[in-house]
Amino acid sequence: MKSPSSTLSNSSDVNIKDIKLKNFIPIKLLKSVGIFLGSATVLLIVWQLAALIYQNETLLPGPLVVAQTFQGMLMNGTLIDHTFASLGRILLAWTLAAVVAIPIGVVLGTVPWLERMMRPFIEMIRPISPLAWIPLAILWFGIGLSGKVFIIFIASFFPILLNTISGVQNVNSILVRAAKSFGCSPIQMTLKVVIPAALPTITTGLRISFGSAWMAIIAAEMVASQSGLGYMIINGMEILRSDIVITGMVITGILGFIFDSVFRYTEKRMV
Amino acid sequence: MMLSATNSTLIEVENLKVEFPTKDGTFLALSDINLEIKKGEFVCLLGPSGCGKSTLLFSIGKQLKPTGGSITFNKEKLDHVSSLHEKMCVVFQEHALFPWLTVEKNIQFPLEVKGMSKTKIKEISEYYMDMVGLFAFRDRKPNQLSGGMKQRVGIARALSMETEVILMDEPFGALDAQTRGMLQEELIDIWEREKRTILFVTHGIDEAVFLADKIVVMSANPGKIKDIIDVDLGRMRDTTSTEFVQYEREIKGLLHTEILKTKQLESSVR
Repeated sequence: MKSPSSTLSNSSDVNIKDIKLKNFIPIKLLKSVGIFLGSATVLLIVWQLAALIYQNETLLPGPLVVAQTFQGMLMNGTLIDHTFASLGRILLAWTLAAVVAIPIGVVLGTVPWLERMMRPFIEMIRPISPLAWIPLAILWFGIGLSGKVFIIFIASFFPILLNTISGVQNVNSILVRAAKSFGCSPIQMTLKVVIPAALPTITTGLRISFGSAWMAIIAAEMVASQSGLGYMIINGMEILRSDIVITGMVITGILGFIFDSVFRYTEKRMV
Repeated sequence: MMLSATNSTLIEVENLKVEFPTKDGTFLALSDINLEIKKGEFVCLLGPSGCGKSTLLFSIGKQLKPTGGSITFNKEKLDHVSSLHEKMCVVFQEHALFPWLTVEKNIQFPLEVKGMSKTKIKEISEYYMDMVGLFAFRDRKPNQLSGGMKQRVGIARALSMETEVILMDEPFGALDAQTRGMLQEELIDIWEREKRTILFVTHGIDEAVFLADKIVVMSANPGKIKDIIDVDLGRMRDTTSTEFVQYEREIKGLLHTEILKTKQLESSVR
């Protein structure tokens, strides 16, 4: 049998002269990193200028002061402790939300009448900010771990649920027909066709929900907590340390960006 | 072993009628369809778009329910045939491969559904991957394959189910002429070796004359069988021979009146 693989999958026999240096340096990446550094510098300069003009370090500390605070808190471990306190709560609640929302989403996506029945309730609860649940969470669960887990659960649940439903509903019908012609049982259809086909959309839901969970945890920790980045920020306000407040905001932003990028990368790999 | 039984009837379609509900009443997709398919035969369903050739194919594959008439498989009513997927398989127009599975896993999918043993699955899938020349590509995902290769995977996947009948819905429709010609030859090659019964939907006259033992020429509005033509040419047909061209001319004539009729109908509607 003639094997065409030698021309297509074997790149080791490519003529060495054809390989140009530019193929090895990710120019696109360098470009976007350059643009980012440029705009970040501009932002920092504006911030520093504003701080110099305003002349009030308690209310508006400049980037240099914040960088010092950042470094100090990083060195003495408080920043890391607070970050892990927030992260731990998020991971627990977000995982819980995924475990509950994905199966429900698969069922609702598969059974149209059930979805039509539940849709109004979902759409009514969904627009309520997770923050509006904080009072009830405190009343029901107190200010311990479970109250915050409840808030994050609410924040993560709906993006995962809605994406799972639409992912399942939009599975290419030809794949379902093909699987039927192979004699797939309904359970095999769900596990081997529908869920894998919906997985990229479900992952998008996981990414979005992680983002909203990250926002909600900060708020929840501001109201009822003795640790976590939210607590660190609100505590910074109470002791009139704007530099700590801004440090908390900066680390929240950076981590949020990193998590989002990791998710996006995974999503891209899946499609 | 199937050779000895070549001339017996395998599928019989009698007075088949298929209607689809529409906004204003029903649409008659097929009416008065009578057709007999023998074991090991290569049958092409040919006609303009809208003549119901795919509808007929999928009625036989039990993927849609006819309004009237009957279809029998081995003298048994289609409704009573148990586990039909072990007797018929489908090759779809848009390859219908699972994008998250490799070539090998795609081909193994129906066998896993069947619950075959791992070693048997490996043995069968390797045999058919080799047959369609994709062994070297077994670890690729569908989006890393060309259109012709994807369709070959679809064919290998169907063949691996080792069903008696293979239903093919315009499998080469989306391919360029060269690839199509190559796959047509490969398909005949495989069919001669494997002795399966193939039902092949196409709108290409040349494709039908090249492939078929029997061409079912269909007409639209409503979908009916216009004529059934036995192709008395040997195998590995020469598409430039006078006999080949004569068949093409005959069918073109049959379809031409059809096209005129459709045009008239369309202009009268306007």
